[in-house]
Amino acid sequence: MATIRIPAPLRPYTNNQSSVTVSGDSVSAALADLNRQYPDLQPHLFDGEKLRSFVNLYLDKQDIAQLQGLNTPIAEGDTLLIIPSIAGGAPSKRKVDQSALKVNQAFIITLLLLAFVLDTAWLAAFVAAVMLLGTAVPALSLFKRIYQHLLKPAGVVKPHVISDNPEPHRFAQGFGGVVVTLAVLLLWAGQPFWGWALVWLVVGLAALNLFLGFCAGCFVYYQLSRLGAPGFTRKPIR
Amino acid sequence: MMIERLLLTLLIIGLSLAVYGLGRWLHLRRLERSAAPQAERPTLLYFASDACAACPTQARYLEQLAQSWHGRFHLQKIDADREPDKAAQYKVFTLPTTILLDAQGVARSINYGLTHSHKLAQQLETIGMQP
Repeated sequence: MATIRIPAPLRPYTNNQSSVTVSGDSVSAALADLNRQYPDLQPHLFDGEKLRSFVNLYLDKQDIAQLQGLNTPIAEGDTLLIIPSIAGGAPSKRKVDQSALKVNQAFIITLLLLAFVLDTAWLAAFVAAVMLLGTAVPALSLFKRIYQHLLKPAGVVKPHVISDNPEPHRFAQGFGGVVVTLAVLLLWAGQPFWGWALVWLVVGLAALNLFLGFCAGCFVYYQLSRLGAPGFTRKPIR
Repeated sequence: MMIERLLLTLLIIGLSLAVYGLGRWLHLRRLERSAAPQAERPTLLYFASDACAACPTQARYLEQLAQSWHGRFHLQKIDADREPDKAAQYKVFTLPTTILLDAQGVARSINYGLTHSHKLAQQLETIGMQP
C-alpha cells in the first residue's frame, strides 16, 4: 500500500482527509484506486482519461513527468504528492462548498414554512437565532454542521466546492436573520400579517438562491463593495 | 387554522411554480420569434461573466458534455459583461444561463442557474440528438 497526499482544495472530496492509503503498483493504478474510493475526485484530477494539465504528481519529491509518467512504479510505503500548478496567477484559495449553502437554505425554508403552518413564532425565532449565530461564528452554523457531520459523510449530499468569497453569503444569511428577527418581533407585538409577510420574503429569497442560484444578499454585498462601503471589501473572484 | 395555513402555503408554492413556469415559457416564445440564424447543428448558448461564481463550474459541465457528444452541437460562450447587447437580445437576467437552439436557430430550452450536464443531455435528446 502507498499513500497519496491530498492538497487542501481537494480535501472536501476525500472527506477532508489529507492523505489516502491506496493500492496499486504504479501511479496510474494508485490514482485509479483513489478515484474508486472517492469518485467525486475524479473530474478534478482527470479530463476524460487524461490527467488535467495543472495536476502535478511527485513521487518521493520527484516529478513523475521526469520518471515514467503515469506508468512510474510505486513501491510499498511510497508517498505520492498531488500538487496543483500555478500558471499566470494564483488560483483562488477562497472556496465555498455550494452544497453546504444549499442545505442551509433548504433547512431555513422548510423550518420557516413549518413555523407559518403551525403558527409558531418560536420556531421562526429559533431559525433567526441559528442564522444570526451562524453569521457571527460560521463554525457554529447548525444547519451547515448537520451537512458536514451527517449528510456529507453519509453520502446523502455530495460536496460541490467552487472558488467564491464566503463573506457575501454570510452577509446574505445575516441580513435574512435580521429580517426574520424583525418578523418575530412583529408577531409577538400582535402584527401577524406583517410578521409572516417578512417570513415569506425570506423564504422567497432563500428559494431564489436554492433553486435558481441567485443570491440577492450577495448581489447587495457586491454593490456595496463597488460603492466602497466600509466593511464590504471583497470583490467578485475573476 | 393549521389546515388553512397549509393550504395557503401550498397555494403560494403552486402559484410561484406556475409563475416561474409561465415566465420561462414566455421567455422561450419570445426567443422563438427572434430566432438566430440557421446553423448546421444545434447550438448551446452559454451566458457567463467573470463575476459569476458558478460559471466556471458550468463551463466544466459544458466542456464535458461537448467532449462526450463529440462536437455534435456547437457550444458558444457569451460574456454578459463584454457583450451586454447579446445578453439583452436573449433577455438573460441571471448567470449562468444556458439556451439550446436547434439547427434552425429556434430556442428550444432555457436553463437559469447552474445546470448539470445530464439535464442538458436530456434537452439535446428531446430535439432528436443522440450522443
